[in-house]
Amino acid sequence: MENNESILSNSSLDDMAAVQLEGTAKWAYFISVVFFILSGFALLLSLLLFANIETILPRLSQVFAISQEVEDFILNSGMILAIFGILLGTTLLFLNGFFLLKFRNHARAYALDQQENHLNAGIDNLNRYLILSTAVNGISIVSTFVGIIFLFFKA
Amino acid sequence: MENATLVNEQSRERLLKSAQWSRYLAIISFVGLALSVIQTVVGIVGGQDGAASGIIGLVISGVITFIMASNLMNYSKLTKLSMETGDGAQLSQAFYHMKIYFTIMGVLCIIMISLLVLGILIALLVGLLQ
Repeated sequence: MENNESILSNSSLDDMAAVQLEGTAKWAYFISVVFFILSGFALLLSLLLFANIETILPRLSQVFAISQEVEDFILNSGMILAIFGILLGTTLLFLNGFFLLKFRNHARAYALDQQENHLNAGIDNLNRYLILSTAVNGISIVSTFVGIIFLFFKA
Repeated sequence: MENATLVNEQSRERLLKSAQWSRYLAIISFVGLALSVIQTVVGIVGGQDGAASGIIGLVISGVITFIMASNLMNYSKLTKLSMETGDGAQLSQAFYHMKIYFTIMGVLCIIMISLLVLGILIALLVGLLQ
């Protein structure tokens, strides 16, 4: 084949690739639903925790032997840090779920009508998911690295 | 056959971009795994409490991370190769590896939700008994 024509009709994926893509999309849908549920659950749990922090914290202090100094920190700036962390975490989880859901919807639409624009939109959303996951993993690596340095100097 | 295109130019660019980012994600996962191993070793050498017992957790999470990252790497390699050669079977193989990656993640989600539900039930039971 010397020309630049598609080896398949209308420049579409072959049947096997389309079947694998559909299988990927099914799992992506399941994971996106789990991500939505988890982000909602984390937000709800955090709200309940913060609403009752003055009741819960003394009990936690007894169980985990938290000092009064740490307890004061948690009740002041610790709360702000925790709220920021939880909001960031749930937003990232929700966004990842959203990208996966859009990937699934477009991949499914592509399986039905074989329109190349659906394939493009689906892969675009898969790319967004991959970029966000890479960023989150990158932050996680940096924190692990800081942990190692801390342990090293402590040792 | 060398000049054959499997998908159009727009899809090709997007697929190559996904190959590039899945490669980055795989590399970051491998680096994260290596750092976790170093962290555990430093913890054991430094005599940190619970560091040795963390080995079992590290082995389990390490194996899972390694398999997931390998699948992402294979997706990246095969996608690039299929775009170069125009071989549909290679692109199919690439999507197969992406499917395995998502399948593992889905199974992990099921395990996590099961543990979460179990935890809530135990907490409720303990609360009722007290």
